[in-house]
Amino acid sequence: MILNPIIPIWVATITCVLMIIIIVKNKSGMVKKLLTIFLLFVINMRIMIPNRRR
Amino acid sequence: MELAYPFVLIIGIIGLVVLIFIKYKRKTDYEDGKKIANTKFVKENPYYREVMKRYKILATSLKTVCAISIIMSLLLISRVGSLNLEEMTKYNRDIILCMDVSDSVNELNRDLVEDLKRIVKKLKGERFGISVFNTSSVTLVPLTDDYEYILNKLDELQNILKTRVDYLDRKIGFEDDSVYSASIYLEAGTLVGNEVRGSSIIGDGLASSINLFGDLKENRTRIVIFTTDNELYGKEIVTLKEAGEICKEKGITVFGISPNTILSKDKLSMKEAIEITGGSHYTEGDKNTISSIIDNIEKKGKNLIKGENEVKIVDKPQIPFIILIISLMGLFILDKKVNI
Repeated sequence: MILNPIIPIWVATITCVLMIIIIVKNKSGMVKKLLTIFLLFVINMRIMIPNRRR
Repeated sequence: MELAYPFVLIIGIIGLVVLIFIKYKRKTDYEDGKKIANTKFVKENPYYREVMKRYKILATSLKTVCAISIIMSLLLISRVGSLNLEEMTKYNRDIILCMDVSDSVNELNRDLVEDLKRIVKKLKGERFGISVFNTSSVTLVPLTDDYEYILNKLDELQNILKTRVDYLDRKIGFEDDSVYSASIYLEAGTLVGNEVRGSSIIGDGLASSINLFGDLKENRTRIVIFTTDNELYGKEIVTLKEAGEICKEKGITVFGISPNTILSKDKLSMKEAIEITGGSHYTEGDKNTISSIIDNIEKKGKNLIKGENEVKIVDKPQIPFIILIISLMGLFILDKKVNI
């Protein structure tokens, strides 16, 4: 498994924590928002599975 | 800007437009509230007007940010990128590693393989092949520029040689399965006619490796890296000197490496045969043997061949992704503020 983040992981982490802080103050649809943030973080990782051994 | 899957963006935008159309067509004005008459007084109230104005601005901003988020997501799914034109250049040089796999050269070969892996990693379009010999010659890797395959084979060869050296140094016994596998690997095809012809038939080994180059009429630089201790224990069809002369005739340069245990008369005859080809002879332990060989190989003419241009789409998701993050953050902030 290869990780090739779109933006550096530390930047993504800070951004996601900031987003969580924003949504925590507003309880409506929190699960959906948390899921969005989680997906955003995972998409940023750009997980790749090589098909040939290198 | 190029899209790998533009249909995703097209379908997405059509879907978005349809959704907006359905939403505006449906009359939901009084679904979640109660009808109130005589609201003129309230609507003229400055506070109400101010709140409504703020609400409308926030709601419009929310919708805009939401649309931006969707469009950015669609762009990311469509794999936004840019077209890169790559010129595929190759060097027209062929290198053959011709190894004597008799036990006296195992240690040298094992150490050499490690250095050769570094050389292979630096190759750019050159073709590389491996031939091993003892009584007879075997092509381990035909001339190829598939460096991944070559490196795998060199790894395999290194492990086999390491096992063989460990076995001969009595570090492991024959009961170890790997010892048997190593013997089979090194002896398969390299000992054909061993009882009659003997072993370590060096001249034949070098001469056989010439066949690996394929079409010798093609204008390419050809190099053989030849490892042997030049200790002949059999009947040669082609002597080492004759093999050297054939190499010279075919325009092949030979670089020879011998273990430091080589006898002086063997070293002399090997050096003589190799120098006929314009190459050099090295002994294991000589200072910078490998770097010297690399330098010599580099000096041998290599011409760049311009290959076909290759067009590649390189993913560039950074900008849409950053816009998506910012718009989502805006969405969360606005969502909180719209709930008045």
